[in-house]
Amino acid sequence: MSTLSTENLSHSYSIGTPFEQQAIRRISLNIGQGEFVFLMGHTGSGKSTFVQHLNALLQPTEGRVLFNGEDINRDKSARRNVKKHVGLVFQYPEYQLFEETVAGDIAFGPKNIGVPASELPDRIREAAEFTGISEELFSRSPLELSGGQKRRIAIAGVIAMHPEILILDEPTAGLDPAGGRKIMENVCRYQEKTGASIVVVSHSMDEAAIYGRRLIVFNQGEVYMDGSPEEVFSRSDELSSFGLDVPQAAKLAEALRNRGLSVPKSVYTYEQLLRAVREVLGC
Amino acid sequence: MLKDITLGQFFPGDTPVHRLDPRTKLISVLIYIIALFVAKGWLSYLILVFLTLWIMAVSKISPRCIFKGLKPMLFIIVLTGLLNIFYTQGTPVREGWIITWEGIDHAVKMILRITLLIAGTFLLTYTTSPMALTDGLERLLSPLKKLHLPVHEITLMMSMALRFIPTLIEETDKIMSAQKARGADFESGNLIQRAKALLPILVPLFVSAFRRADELALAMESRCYHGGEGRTRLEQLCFMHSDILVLISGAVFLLGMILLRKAGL
Ligand SMILES: Nc1ncnc2c1ncn2[C@@H]1O[C@H](COP(=O)(O)OP(=O)(O)O)[C@@H](O)[C@H]1O
Ligand SMILES: [Mg+2]
Repeated sequence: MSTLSTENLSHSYSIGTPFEQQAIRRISLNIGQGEFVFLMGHTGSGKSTFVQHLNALLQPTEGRVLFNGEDINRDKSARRNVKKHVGLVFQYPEYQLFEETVAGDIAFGPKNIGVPASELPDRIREAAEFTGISEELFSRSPLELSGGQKRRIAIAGVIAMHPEILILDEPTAGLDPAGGRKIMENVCRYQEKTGASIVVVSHSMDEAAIYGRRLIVFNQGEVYMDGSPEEVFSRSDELSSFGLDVPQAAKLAEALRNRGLSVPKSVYTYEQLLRAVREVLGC
Repeated sequence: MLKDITLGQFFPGDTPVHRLDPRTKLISVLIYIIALFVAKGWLSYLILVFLTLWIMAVSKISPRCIFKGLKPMLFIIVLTGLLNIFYTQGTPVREGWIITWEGIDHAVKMILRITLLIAGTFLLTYTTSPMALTDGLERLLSPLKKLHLPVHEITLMMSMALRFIPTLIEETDKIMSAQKARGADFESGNLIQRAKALLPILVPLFVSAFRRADELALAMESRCYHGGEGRTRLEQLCFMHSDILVLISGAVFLLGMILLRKAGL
C-alpha cells in the first residue's frame, strides 16, 4: 500500500538570476495505490519539473512531497530511500545507457539500491521480459542497438528496481506508433503483475484515451483539469484553447454528431465509437 | 549545483555597457587588467574598486551574479591571502607573532586584485554575447592572419566551445539526474569510489558530445561552410561615438594609474 501526494508544491528555476522562472505553482495532488495516471499538457507546462519532485531529484521551492505520509525531503537518507520506491524513467532515457552490456545496464539500478548479487539475474530476466528484450541481447553493447531497443532497455533498468510507483516521462516520444504501443502495453503488464501505480507523461491524447484511467492536465505550471477521460475529453474546447487535442475517435464522434447521428458525448476510443454507432444503426 | 557554473554565461540586457562594441570591451578589459597589475598603493585600489562597482551598476549586473561566479575560486583566493599573511617579512602585529603588518597589507591587496580580475572578466562575458565576443576577437586578431595564423578557425572553435558549454552542462545535469533516479550516489564513498561513480555520467556524456560534433559538422557542410576565406558577415561591427569615448577614457585612465604608481599611491 503506497501513496504519493504533493502539498502546495511550487518550484522556481535559477533563483536569484535574471532567468528566474516559476515552473510549477501550488500543485496539490494525490496518487493512490494502483492508479494509472496520465499527465498531459503542452511543452513547458511543467510536467517534467513536477515528476522530478516525486522521487526527490528536485527539491520544492515551496510545499512538500509525501510518500506514505512522510516527507521525502526530510533528510538525505529519506531522499535516497524514496528512489527505491518511486522509479522515474526520464525523457529520452536511451541517452543514459553506459554499461558494456545490456544486462549490466539493467542491473545498475538494482545494484545501487542494494539488491544482493544472487538475485540480480532473476531481476534482469524479469525486467527484460516485461519490456520485450530477448535474452540474445543481454551480452551486446547497448550503444549499438536501435533507438526503440535502447529505450526499452532504459525502462527495464528502472523496472528492475521493482518500484511501487513507476513514472515515465514521455516514454513514446520519437518512436514509431508500433514501438510506442509496445512500450505502453509493457507498462500495463507491469501494473497488472505488480499492482504498482503508474504515472505517464504524454502528449498523445489517443494514448491517454486507450490506457489512462485518470487524466491530469497541466497548464502553465498549474493543474488545470483532473478527472476521468470522459470528464476531460468532454471539455474539448478548453483543451484546444491551450494547444491540446482530443482523441481522434472523439473528433470522429463529434463529426458524426454534427451530421445528425446521435453518438453520446462520452465516446473517446474507437471501440466505444464502434459500439455506439452499431447501437444507433441497430446492426 | 552544476548550474552554479556561470562561465561564459551571458545575461542579455540593454544598457550602455551591453551596447558597446565588443572590441571596445575587449580592449577595455585588457586596460583594466593592466591597471590592476600597475596598481600599488591603496588609492589606486580604491579607484579600481569604485570603477568596478560603477560598471556593475551601469550594466545592471547584480553583485549576487558576480559572487556566484567567484564562488568556485574562493578557495584559491583565500589560500593566496593566507600565504601572503604568513610569509611576508616585516614588523609583527604583536611581539612574537608571525603575522606582520606588511603581510596583512599584501594579503588584502592580493585578494582585491584577484577578486577584481575575476569580476572584471565576468562583467565582460555577462554583458557580451559569445557571438559578439568571438567576432570582436577575430577582428582584433586579424592582423595576425598576415603571419598565417588561422585566426578565423581559432575564433570559430572558441565560439563553438562557448556555445556548447551551457548545452553540455545541461546535458550533464540531465544524465546525473537520470542516474540518481537509478540510485546512483555521487556524494559518498572514498576517492576511488567517487571516481568510479563518475563513469555512468562520463560515458553517456562523451557519446552524446561526439554525436553532437558529428551532427554539427554535417549541418555546417550541408550549408556549404568551407572555412573563413571570402566569408562576409551579416552584421558588421562599427565603432560609435561612445566606443571612441570609452577607449580614450581608458587610455587616460591607464596613464593616470601609471602616474599614481610613480607617486607611490
Ligand atoms: N533545468 C532547468 N533550468 C531552468 N529552467 C527550466 C529547467 N527545466 C525546465 N525549465 C523551465 O521550466 C518550465 C517547465 O519545463 P518542463 O517541466 O520541462 O515542462 P514540460 O515537461 O511540460 O515540457 C519551462 O518553461 C522550462 O523552460
Ligand atoms: Mg518534459
